[in-house]
Amino acid sequence: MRFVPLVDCDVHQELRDPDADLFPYLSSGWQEFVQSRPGGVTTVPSAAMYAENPFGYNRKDAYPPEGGPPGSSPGYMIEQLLDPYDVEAAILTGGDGGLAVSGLNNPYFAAEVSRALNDHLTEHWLAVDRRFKGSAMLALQVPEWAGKEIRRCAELHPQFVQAVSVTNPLCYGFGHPIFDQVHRACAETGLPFGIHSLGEGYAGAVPSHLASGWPTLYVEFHTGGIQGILTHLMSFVFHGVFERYPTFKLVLIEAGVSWLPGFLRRMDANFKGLRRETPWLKKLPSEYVMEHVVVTTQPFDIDSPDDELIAALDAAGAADILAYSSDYPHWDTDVPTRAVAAMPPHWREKVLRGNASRLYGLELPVAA
Amino acid sequence: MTPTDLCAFDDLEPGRVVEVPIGRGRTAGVVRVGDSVRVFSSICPHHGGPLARGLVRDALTADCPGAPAIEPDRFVLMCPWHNWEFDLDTGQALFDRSTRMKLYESAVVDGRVVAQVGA
Repeated sequence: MRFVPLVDCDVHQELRDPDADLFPYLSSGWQEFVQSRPGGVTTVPSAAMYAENPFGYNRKDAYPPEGGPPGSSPGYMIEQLLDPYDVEAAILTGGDGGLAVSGLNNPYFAAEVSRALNDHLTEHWLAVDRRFKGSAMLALQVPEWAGKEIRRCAELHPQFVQAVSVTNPLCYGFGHPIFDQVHRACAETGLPFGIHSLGEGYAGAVPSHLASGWPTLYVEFHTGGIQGILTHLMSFVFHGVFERYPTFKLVLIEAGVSWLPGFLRRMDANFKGLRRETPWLKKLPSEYVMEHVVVTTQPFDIDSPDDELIAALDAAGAADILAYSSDYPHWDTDVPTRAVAAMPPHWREKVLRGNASRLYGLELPVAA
Repeated sequence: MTPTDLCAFDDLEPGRVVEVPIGRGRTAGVVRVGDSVRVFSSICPHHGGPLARGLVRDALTADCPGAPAIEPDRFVLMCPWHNWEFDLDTGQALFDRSTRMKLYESAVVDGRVVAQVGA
């Protein structure tokens, strides 16, 4: 089954050799700094998790023939994902090292690594194929500096289409006004702000990955990854980010979709009794979500167009804010054919291309 | 329909709800707002909470996050159960114009509060 062309909103590009790849993009001062460390060059923070996947994080068939980790070869990604599935735009959301940049303790070095990652992405991916769309990897330790990096990337290359963060280096949800410079930069550049789930579990994060207790099994870590997403979404709604910045768009990545109807109800119900605490909100929380938020589909908790969850999602209007994602090359990927087969027909145009196309301002060829 | 005599206007303390019986086991809330009155059903449209035992407060608004401000001359009734707020002029919930408490047509006649509360 084909749907031509589609947009994949969560594709992980990896560094082939993290330290060697990023080294040329550091300033001479930072190059000297990393070289003088005992044990040699260490540039990229390791994405150490509090619970490890005992079976690995990647599809076993995604290792590039020329070597390197899955997702590190633009050519092999094109061969394995973009060409066979007619992916017209692959939104690159960063790899394990890059996603953890907000976990670095040194805020100055984190900002430098963030810049280096984005420069590397520009030269080694965005310049290779117009279908690769970039996410500016943010170091959020100092939100003002992250805002400047968003503005730099918006000018750096037209294929940067969003800014992304994962690990939370501060102790509040990303909608808290302490991140205002990030919100403002996204609103003013038109780049959506993406939050990739599961990052709270990276080393260096301040909040617990799971509320009320650390995960000790990977299945707990992964299943509970939506908790952080819910925290962030609440903070954006109730702190009034969408009122302060009417053009601001938020993308929630790799948290699945099944939680959406119930959580919108919960926010609305609480707002009705607690409106007085947030009188700057002029609409119901669910209305803000429908206007400002896009939720990527993977891991897609729906098995067929007859799945009972479809009715609940339709009742919430979810088809207007969902956007397909594969999570290539990770172990829990949803390949396009499988996702298309599981979707009800009335979702396909919106979820496979329309919603993402509007979000990112993409000009796509007309579907065949 | 003949309006029902509910209470003396001078007995009302501004901003304080008085609960009065209106027949058939029902009650209404009566509150003085300036020189006029508002009379409303005691049953909250949410979970049936006793609105006549709620609080009258200034309405809050905000031009931007973090800056709550009083809306001049706009008052709300807060349900004592779940804090839903209703505009005392229109009955509308502040969070949703499609939800409202029942306001009865009322007036002050010869120093008495009267309202069309039905039979």
